[in-house]
Amino acid sequence: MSDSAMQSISMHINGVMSAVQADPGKPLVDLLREDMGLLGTHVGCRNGDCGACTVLIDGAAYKSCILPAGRAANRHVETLDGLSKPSELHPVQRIFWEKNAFQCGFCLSGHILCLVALFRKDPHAGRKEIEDALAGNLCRCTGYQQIMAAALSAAEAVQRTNSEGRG
Amino acid sequence: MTLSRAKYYRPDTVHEALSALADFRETTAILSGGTHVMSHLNRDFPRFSQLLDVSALPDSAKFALTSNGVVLGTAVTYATVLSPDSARLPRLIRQISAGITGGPQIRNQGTLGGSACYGNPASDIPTGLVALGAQMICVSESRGTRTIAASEFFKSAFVTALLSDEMLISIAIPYDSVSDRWGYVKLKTTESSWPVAVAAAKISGAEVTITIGASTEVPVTICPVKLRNAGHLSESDILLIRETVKATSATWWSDELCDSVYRKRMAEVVAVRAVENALSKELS
Repeated sequence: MSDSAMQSISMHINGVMSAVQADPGKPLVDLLREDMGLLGTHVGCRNGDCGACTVLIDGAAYKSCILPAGRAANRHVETLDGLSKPSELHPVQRIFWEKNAFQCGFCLSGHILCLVALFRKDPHAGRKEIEDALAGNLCRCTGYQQIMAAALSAAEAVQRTNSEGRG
Repeated sequence: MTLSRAKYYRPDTVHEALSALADFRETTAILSGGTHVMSHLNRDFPRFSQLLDVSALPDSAKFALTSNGVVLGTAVTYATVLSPDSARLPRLIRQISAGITGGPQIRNQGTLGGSACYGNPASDIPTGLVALGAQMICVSESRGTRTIAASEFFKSAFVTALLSDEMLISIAIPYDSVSDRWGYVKLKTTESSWPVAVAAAKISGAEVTITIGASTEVPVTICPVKLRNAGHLSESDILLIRETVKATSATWWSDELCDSVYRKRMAEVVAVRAVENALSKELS
C-alpha cells in the first residue's frame, strides 16, 4: 500500500530511471513540470478535455492533468521532451514541421504523442484510426485540416519505412 | 499547481480500503479511473480529505467470464473492454466504450465502475448498465457485501445507492442472448461535450425494449414496444416509440447544455435511432 503526503516516486522518464519526492496524489503533469522540469507537457484545461497534457505511459496515451502521479510509479513515461534526438526530430514531429501543422503549438504534445502511440500499435493506421486517435485533442487555433494532413503524411511515411525495412 | 491537499491512499487490499473509507466517509473521494475526481481536485471543489485509489485492489482492473455472464472489476477501463481478448463481453458495453468522449486517453484511464459511481445523468455507462440488467456488487466494513440492481443503483443526478462507508467492488452483467440485437445512439451538441440524450435498444423478435438516459436524471427503461414487422421499422412503429417515450414518467434533466424540454424531445428522436441502429446489426 502507499499512504502519505510526500513519497519517493520512481519512474522511467524518457528512458531514464528517475526518482522524486512528491505528493502521489498530485496530477502527473504537475510532477513532470514542477518537480522534473519537463515543460513539453502542457497544462491546458485541467479537466481532461483538451489533451495538451498528454503523455505516454507504457506506450498508451493518458491525460496527465487528471492522472495521480502515484499511478505512474515504476512505469515507463514518455513526454514530448524525450521524443526527438538532440539533432533530429522524431519523424512525426518533422512532418508536422514541414506541413506547418501547428500555429501556437500548445496542443502539439497531445496530437504528436497520440499519433506516435497509434503508429507503434498499428503501422497501417488509416484516416479512420487517425481521427479516432486524435479525438481527445483540441486545437485552439482550429488548425485541424493541417493537423490531419500531416497525420496522413506521417502514416504514409511509417508505412513506407516499414515496407522498405521488409524489402 | 494543484490546490487540494487531500491525502492520497492506494491500498492493496479491500480490507485496507474499507478501513480507510470507514475512517473518513463523506470526505473521501474514491478514485477508480480518476477522470472525474481529479478534475474536481484541480478546481479544489468539492474539497476532500482523502483520495482513495482503488485501482490497485486485487482483480479490480480485470474481468471474469462466468457461466451466467461477465463480472467487471470496479476499475476496468474502457480500453480493457475494447481489447481483443474481450470479445465475449456484451456487445452493448463494447459499443458504448468505443464511443466514449475524450479519445484514447480517456478510454485508457476511464472506468465503467467510476462512471457508474459518479452518477452523472449525461454519462453513457449508467444507461448501458440499466439496459443490460447489470448487478452492482458493493461492500462495506460493517455490512459486508450487498448486490443492487443497476436500475435501483442510480437514485438521482450524481446520487447513487452507495452508502458513505460503502464502495462498488464489481459489476455483474448477464450474457447477451444470441437472438437479441442491441443498438445505442447518443446525441451531443459538440464532439467533445457530454451527451444530452442517449438510448439503448434491445430487439428480441418483434419486441423492442428501450432504455433512455442523459435526458433524464437517471436511466429509465420504457415499456416494451411491439414492432409491426420484426426486422423493419414502419412509420407507425416510429410514432408508437415516440409516443411511448413522451408518456414516460421520468424526471427530465436540465443543465447548462440544454433544458429538460429540449432533452425530452430529443429522447424521442434518439430512441427511434437506437432501434434503427439495432436493426442495422447482423445477428451474431
